[in-house]
Amino acid sequence: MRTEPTTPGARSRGDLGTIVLCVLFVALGIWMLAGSMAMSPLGAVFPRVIAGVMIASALAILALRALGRASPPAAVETGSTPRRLLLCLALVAWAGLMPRLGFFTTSIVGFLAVLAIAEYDRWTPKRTAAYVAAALAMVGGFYLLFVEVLLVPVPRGVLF
Amino acid sequence: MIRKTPFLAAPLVAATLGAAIAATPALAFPDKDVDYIIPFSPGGESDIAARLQQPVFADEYDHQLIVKYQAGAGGAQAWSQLNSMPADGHTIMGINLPHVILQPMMSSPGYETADLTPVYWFHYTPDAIIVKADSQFQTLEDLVTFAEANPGLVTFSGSGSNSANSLAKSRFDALAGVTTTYVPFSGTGPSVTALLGDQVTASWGYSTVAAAQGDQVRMLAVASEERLPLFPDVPTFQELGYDMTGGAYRGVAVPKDTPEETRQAVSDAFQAMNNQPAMRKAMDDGAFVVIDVPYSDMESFMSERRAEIEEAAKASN
Amino acid sequence: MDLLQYLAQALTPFNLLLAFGGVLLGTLIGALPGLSATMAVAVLVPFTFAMPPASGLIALGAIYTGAIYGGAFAAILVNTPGTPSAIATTFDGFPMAKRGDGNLAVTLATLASVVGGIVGALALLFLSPPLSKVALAFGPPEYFWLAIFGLTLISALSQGDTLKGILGASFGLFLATVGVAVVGGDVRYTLDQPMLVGGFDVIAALIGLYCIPVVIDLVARPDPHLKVSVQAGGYRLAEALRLCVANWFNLVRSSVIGTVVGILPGAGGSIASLVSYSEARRSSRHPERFGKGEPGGILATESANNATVGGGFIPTLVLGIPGTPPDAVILGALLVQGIRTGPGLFTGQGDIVFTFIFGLLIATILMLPTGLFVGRYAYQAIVSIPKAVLVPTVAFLTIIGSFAIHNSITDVYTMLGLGLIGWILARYGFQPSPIVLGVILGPIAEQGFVQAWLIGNAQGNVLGMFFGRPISLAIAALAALTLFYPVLMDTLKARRARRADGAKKEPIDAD
Repeated sequence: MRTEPTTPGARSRGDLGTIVLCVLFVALGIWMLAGSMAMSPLGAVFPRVIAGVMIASALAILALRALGRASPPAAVETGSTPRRLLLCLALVAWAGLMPRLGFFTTSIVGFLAVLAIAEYDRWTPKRTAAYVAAALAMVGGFYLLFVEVLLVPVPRGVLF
Repeated sequence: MIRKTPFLAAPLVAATLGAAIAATPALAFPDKDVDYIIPFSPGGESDIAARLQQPVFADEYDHQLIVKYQAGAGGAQAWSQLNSMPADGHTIMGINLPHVILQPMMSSPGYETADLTPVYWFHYTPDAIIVKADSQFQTLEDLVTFAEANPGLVTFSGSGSNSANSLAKSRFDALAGVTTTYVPFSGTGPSVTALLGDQVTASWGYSTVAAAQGDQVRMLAVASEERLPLFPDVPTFQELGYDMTGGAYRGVAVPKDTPEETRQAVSDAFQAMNNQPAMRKAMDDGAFVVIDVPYSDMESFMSERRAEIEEAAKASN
Repeated sequence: MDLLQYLAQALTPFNLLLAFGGVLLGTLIGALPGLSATMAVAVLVPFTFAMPPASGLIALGAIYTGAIYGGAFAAILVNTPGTPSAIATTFDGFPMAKRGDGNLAVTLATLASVVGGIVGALALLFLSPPLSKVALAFGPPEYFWLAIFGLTLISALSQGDTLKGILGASFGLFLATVGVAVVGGDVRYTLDQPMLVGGFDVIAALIGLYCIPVVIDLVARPDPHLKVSVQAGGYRLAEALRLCVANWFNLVRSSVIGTVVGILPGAGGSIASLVSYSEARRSSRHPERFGKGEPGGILATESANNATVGGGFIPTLVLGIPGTPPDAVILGALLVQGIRTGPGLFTGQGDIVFTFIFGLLIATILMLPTGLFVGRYAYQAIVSIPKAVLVPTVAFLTIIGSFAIHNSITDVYTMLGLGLIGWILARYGFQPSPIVLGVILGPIAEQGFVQAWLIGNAQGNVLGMFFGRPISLAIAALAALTLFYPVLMDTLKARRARRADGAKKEPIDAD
């Protein structure tokens, strides 16, 4: 199917990801075309053109790969993948819980959670105290700025 | 703290100073600052209206109207959330017609018209046909004659599809028996720009547009019941034989759990603001038409508008 | 002379204080992602009612220009364009900051903003009535071609893999179609979710696509966010000035582009900076350096976006048509104060208008000391704050900032959702910039196209609408030039290289 990459590990993973993404884009394009059938002629012009370009360019990438003329692989990712995934989880939870628990509470908890994920040094009592103080200062400061000065109606939730 | 800062010296407050205010609400409204949510971006007509009301409100009650913006989806974003807001009368939201009837009719914006609780309608901006000052069309009749002779050739710019402007276009086309082309733009600004740049023949807009553009444009007819004080020479559609009145109405709504007495109190407050001579004058100067539809008249007003809008929407399909 | 008298009125201590305070506040607000110039101006409007009209306008204008400038900080130091105007500033600003030239980048942005702001304000002062005609000369087909011109930048932004750039842009264009179509009123691709009826917000998409991947990658490694250059501290003002002098033509051209694009209602700072970036890159002797920390890129984008401030006021004051969203707010404030804009404004209320324009000019000049001062602290804060505190602070700002756009949690979900998608896409070589370009330019291209088609169809001349108008043709030609120029140059270079035997090819970096 495709030529064997020179650096097997990273390259084949990058290739596989690109192929999966391109297949997904083709599917998205087909879904767009299907959805455009129900639209008025003027409303359908652009979605159809975009879908066409999307499908064509995704197929072109796949074809080039099949011919062995793949573009240089994306930069190989280094560092801690578990931390990356934890951070994604933390952000999703932060945004998801905000309307229910309230803006201030969620933000303090979220801030400390992300802080813990980003921390590489050892936790000493002094450092922990400094970080908690930083979290309170940052969240509190911006809370006051947004709510009192800029009049942003933040979600209150059950706590606050 | 900003919200505690009293308003000073805006010209129209100066004019109202000393005007005795009899309306003292018996109920606890307002007993603190009132959040006034505008479901559009700042700078539009709804915002300007709120900004005019702000000082009058502060003057009459010892509390502020705090204007907050929650724009999105032509207002639908805010209206779909109205009922989940605090229902003590201290959170009120701007509400617009024909938007709140048209949107649920055309798509699923996340609310139904019946979910909303308007308590007062304070003004409307009548639909109007506007041409450039140097246009060949001096009167509405000129334009209609030309449109009859050249079906489809007359282009109208307007703000948005399924909007007050596009509705007015279909209503008028049906009344005059002509075919014209409606070109939707992403707002009043771009629509007027297209008119001034000679991209289109004429524009469907509001009387306020003609007021803002001054002598760059000429209003051929206006959909108010009487001629506007600012434009004594511009005929109404009715005078010219087209039974067309209306436009974009603006009012306030409250969350549905708001108690009856509080709804009435909010209605009374807006009534009192509308009664201020300075407010009337500011509205006249901007070519807004002041109306007073209090909470008690809400049901009949809404069903009349609904019938009107449904008919026009049918005509456009 | 009258003008000097207005200048004197603008120079009262009270007005100077307002200009200074406005710039400072605007810069701080603009530096926070999600807080736009529109919001900054809207919040301050009620305070100006208590001031004389000209002073109120000076305060609003100063905040506005400061906020546009402040967007550069976040763009350079954390790769997050605080406002759409600053998107193109990330292209070269963040690479510069990463390699240790963050302070130089901030100083360059400050100088460029001041130059652009002054050019825009001078155009407003002297050329308003004739330039306002530009706004009117741009009809739907011109906007369509302008958007297409912007899209040709994709080939420049996706070095190494144009196909992936095109695919990314079509994904961005798709995102832009979601929701109720302005033209036609179709409800598209909302999956029956009321949340999606309004479509994806551009700023939320921007914060998500640019900032979330940065935050995610920050936690993966313990080394600091930005490199700090040991030998070059301070403002590096002399170095920045030298670069400005060397790039003087770029600065002037970008400022003029910014002024003209600012005049167009419906275009705005993002397009102005993208167009001037594209032009700077195309005419540079080293186009391959753009996107990797080329000072010329920052100079182009920052001078262009601040020039839109003065440019945008031209149609606002002359025609009563707001050139940009913050102008709409200021126009509303004028109306509430009982001032009617339009052709009569300059003659009838010249004292207010000219005092205001001088105030804007003074505010722009005050941006130099204010900006250098704020910039220095912003830079020091970003490099000295422990990474473990920086990451949650940026994350917190993305969340509250995207919430504040419309005071709606929907935008937070948009931001985060697109951010995660953008991170995955970036891992496989799909850059965020083409996607963002699609999101921003899609609606302009589509509306222009459909409106032009409707008008052309009514007149029985659709082809003439798209290809028979001089401005359209000029923009279309520029688009073609941008698209094919690199290919052309490469062909020429290759031919020359073949002739001169041992020449080696420029390495392609798929960063």
